[in-house]
Amino acid sequence: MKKNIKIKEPIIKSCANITLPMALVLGIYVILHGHLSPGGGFQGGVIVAGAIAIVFIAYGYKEVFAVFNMERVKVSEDIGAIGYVFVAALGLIYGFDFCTNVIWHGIPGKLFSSGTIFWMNFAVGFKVTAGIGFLIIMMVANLYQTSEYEDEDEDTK
Amino acid sequence: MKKFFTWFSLTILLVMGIYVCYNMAVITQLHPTYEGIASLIVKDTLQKTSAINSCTAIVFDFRGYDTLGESFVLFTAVIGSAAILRKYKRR
Repeated sequence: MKKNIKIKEPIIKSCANITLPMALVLGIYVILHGHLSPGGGFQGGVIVAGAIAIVFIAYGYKEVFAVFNMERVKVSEDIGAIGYVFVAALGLIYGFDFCTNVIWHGIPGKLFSSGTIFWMNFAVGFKVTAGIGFLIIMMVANLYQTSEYEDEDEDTK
Repeated sequence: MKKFFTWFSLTILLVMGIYVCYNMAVITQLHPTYEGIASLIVKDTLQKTSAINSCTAIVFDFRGYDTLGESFVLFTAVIGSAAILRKYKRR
């Protein structure tokens, strides 16, 4: 178990250095252009959260815990969910139904068009990024914990 | 008595099923260009929401409740797995 975790190969590390910024940029592009191109908040959020798995594969669990703060990730998921509900409740403030598109629509084809769809998409992407990232970090932490326990058991034996 | 009720309810179900199937077949013959909410969503997407990707327009505007429920499903999954894999706090 311990041998599987500590991977410090130069080939994997250099490949991760190339693919990590590409994955981040592609994920953010998919989130922001959800109403213009195929994709959306869910798909782009999962792509961005895959960056945590790349960091874990290349650099090991210690770098994951050094880079990402778990409590902050957990709070940011709640912020995404509250933001979605707030943008959807703008319709109630303007006097229409829940989830009504009330903001200025704009010209079709521009980035800031389509009213509340853009902001709902962004909120869902933020929320899915934080949620899937939290799941991956938690799995990595669990792996680290089990390996530590096994080492302790071996020492006691 | 129990057997009688079983066969009675099954007979009523059969009659109602035949009636509904017949009417559904007749409605499509009477109104060949029957247009419901699906046709409205497909045709008026660009005018109502001005979003080019009509799939996102449907998911985030016409069916906003559905996306809200989906995101809460993910939220519940994260909470459940955090309750099960809670060992990280002892680190």
